[in-house]
Amino acid sequence: MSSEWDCFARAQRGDELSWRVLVGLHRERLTAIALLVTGSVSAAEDVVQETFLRAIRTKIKHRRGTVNGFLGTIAYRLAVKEASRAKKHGDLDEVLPADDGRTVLDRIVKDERERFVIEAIRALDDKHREVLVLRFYGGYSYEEIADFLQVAVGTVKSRMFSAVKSCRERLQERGVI
Amino acid sequence: MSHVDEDRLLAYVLEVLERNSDRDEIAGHLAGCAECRARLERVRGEVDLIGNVRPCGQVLRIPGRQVRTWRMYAVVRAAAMVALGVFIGFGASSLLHRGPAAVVPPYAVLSPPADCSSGCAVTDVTGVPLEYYKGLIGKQG
Repeated sequence: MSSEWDCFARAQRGDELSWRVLVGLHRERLTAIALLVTGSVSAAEDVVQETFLRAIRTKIKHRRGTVNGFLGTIAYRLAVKEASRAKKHGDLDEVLPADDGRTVLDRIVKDERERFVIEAIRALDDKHREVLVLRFYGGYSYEEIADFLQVAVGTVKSRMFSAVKSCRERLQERGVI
Repeated sequence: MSHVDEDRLLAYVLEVLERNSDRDEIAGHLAGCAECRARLERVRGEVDLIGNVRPCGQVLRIPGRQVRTWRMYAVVRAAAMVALGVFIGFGASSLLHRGPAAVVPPYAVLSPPADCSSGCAVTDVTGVPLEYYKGLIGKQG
């Protein structure tokens, strides 16, 4: 754990190699969080960029937890904020397929099965999606999610089960799994 | 114990079973049932697929160089709009010369009446003979 925080600290001091390691380790997962929450490729890229910049400028007073969790929390909060802003302004959801079946997702998701997964997760309602994203992509325990969302652990587990079941059914209908 | 149904297998994989005894029961069955173990692996694979999407976002720039995020762009745009508004509202008006506006007279230039020819005295800069003005006043009176 200390080595990843050491790497983070070196990146904060401007060490380019450490910065590249940090970005390489976490970029995809953070992009997934932002994409699944906002539903927009461009917003997701902005959120990830902003996440790294905020993290790198933050004064770390203690090294509790993991760099993974630290970055995931920033990305999730920024993504929720952006999703809320986009909803208020009626921005289009870029993840949903266009008339010709192509989406902007093609730019950043190369695996066709992953595109279907993203669509399945985006089709969930907010309450189920947030639990799934925090558990799978944020790496939180059910207890931590319950604390984060201020709901009972049993509720979190129930939502998680329903969310994954719903995604599986959707993917089965499409012949993906 | 009969085969573990699909929902219970999923709950087992997700570790959301309510009681530890349920978990132990399923684990015991799996130990002796190759068919359910195969189904368990399939469910695990599907759950892994759902939980492991890895989109490759654009390459990030190194911090410390000039980086502009969407927030910064928004602030810069807003500041530019405000500055432009101030310039148009106040700055531009003060820079322009504020002389009296040139007004084109809406009336036609009058020519002297035909009966007041060369003998009439021209009295002002308009070149209109005095007699002509007197004639006008006389008509009004």
